[in-house]
Amino acid sequence: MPEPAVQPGANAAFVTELTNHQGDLWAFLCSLMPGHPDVADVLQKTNIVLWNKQDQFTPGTHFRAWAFRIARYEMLNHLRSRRRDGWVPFDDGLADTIAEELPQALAPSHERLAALEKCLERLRDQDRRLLEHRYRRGSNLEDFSRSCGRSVSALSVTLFRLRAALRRCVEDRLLPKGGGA
Amino acid sequence: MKERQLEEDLVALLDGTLPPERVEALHRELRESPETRLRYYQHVGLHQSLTFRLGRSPAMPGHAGDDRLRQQRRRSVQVSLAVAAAALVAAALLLRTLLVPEPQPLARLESAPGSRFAVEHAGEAPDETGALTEGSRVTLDQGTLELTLAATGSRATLQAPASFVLEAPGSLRLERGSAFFHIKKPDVGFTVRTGELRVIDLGTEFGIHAFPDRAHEVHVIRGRVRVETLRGHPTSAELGAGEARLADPVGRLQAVDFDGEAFPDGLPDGLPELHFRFDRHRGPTLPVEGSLPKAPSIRARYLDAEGHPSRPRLVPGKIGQAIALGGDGDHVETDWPGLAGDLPRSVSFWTRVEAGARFTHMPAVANWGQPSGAIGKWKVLIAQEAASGPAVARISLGLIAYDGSTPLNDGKWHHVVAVFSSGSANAELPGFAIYVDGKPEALTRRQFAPLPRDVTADQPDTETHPGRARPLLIGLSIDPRPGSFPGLIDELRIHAGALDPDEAGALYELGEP
Repeated sequence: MPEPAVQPGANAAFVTELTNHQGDLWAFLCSLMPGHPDVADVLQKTNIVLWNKQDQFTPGTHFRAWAFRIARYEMLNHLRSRRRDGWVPFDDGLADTIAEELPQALAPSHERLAALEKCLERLRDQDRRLLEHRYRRGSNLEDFSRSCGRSVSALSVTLFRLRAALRRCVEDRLLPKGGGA
Repeated sequence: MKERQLEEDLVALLDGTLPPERVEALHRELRESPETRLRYYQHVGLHQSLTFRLGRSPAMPGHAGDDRLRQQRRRSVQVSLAVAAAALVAAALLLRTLLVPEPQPLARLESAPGSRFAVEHAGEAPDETGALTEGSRVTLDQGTLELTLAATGSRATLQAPASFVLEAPGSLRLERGSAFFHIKKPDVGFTVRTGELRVIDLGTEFGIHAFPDRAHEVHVIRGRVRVETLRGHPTSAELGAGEARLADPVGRLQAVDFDGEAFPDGLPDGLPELHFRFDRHRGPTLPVEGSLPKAPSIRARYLDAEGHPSRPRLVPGKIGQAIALGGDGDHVETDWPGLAGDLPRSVSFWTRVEAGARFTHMPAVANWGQPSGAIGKWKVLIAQEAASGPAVARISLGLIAYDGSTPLNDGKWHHVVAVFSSGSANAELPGFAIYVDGKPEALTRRQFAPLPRDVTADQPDTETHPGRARPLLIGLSIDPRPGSFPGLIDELRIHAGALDPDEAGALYELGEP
């Protein structure tokens, strides 16, 4: 898949917008095609289309909404052309609802990442290693199981608990905090 | 679907490991449940963050989490929502927005809906138009005012309770209150004087707190100011953006944490308020909305009878969801100290309780202040003096209470507004009022013991000092009475001002379109 190259004279503001929204775009696509292995491919296609249409983007307008519309269109094209056995898509009504709600419900990725950093600091070393293994090397826990002497099923339960706890921690941190008025 | 199973399935869905036989059930749950979708979005966000942070994907570009920007953005979103809701109220309430461009005043005043204030000129009768000339004195009993200098457009936003005198075109004496100032270049040198501080603008935006029981403070939001103390040993300093000082009792300037959010710029669409919708929660945390300064920063958590944070039970309510308090002491605890002294205030909410439900344990809907004492608390509750008697809305200050007359334990939704009004601009309102379903109640005064000698009037003197008082609690009494509120509470609002009959009626109409 060709990378969209930064051309001489490219609009710096557009490059910044495109770069800053990679996390949000990935999350948006992931929400509409959960568990599908082609999320990264669709994101790449979306990036190319956005790049080619940058003249249509007016700096200062809502890049996120514009990019999400294009991302959804690219996802639909991708799923139509590459059916995958065993993967059940959302029906149109649910997909519409998610596409409409998620942009409002999801804090920008840099905010979520900052919150996650704080939450990761609170984890025990072995829990953090398990998470890193899961996200660096895929979901196969067997080799990690051998290295730490715990069963795969026990590690799966721990992994689930860690993700549930991190979700709560991140959401708590994203809530505004401070003293009374 | 059970909570843990649901969470496991959402994670498995994102991982692509959800067994096929559970996929359709989860899709159905997502279609039907907004709460499940919200949980799903949270997991999507976490999954993306973990993938980008720990996975092979390129790291995110360098963004240090800027808490202040984030809070400002979230605050603006939440305030916008509150303003949108308030705009509906305002339209129905026909509240005034007073715009006074003439006759050739030094300044003009604009007020937010629900605000009540009085304007006086030295030696003259109050000016009905509100136009300000040299020496005009303004007393703001409730709400928000915006003062705009006619010649230049420099402006100040004042929050009640406040009073000030426009001493000259370039000078204002802030006798009491919190105020935000946006001073334009032609007015450089504009001076604000309090009892303790003189603040001279050097082209800037700044805020001042000036209350009789607290050290006066100045917070510089943009640009620079010169600040001088007026008591003790005179001290002066020049401050820049993000700096704040208070004047201590001996005249020194002491650094304090900058708090720009405490000084709203511009007029809200109604009385400042806190609003608990009870439509959603995050774990034990319930969102707080409203136009009261720093409302979104207020923390509200659901605690069980042992004081442990737990998930609130939200059920279909009058508007969206309502909260159903469980157990023998479950409640919502906040860190908001409440409205102090005899400030005007109103508490409004929808409630539904089972027909025949008992209220002899006097459970609070909302209360704060001093648990014991004659008039040190503000408690709004449903009260039942005897098991055979009616359960009615009550305002309790401690030893003094006012009861409404409509029985509320009939299994139906009722809208209740409890009001205390004070201040010269509120003179036309009764001191205490209770409205049920938009209509004023006939009140019964109760007194439970002889009053101390220093209590000479029926009015609250609500204590809000952290060491002597409890912050706002919802669903449980601050005084040691057992038992949670045995019913549903929805759309609870704490208004920083007295609602009048039209405003109370309009709030009821919001739920009975």
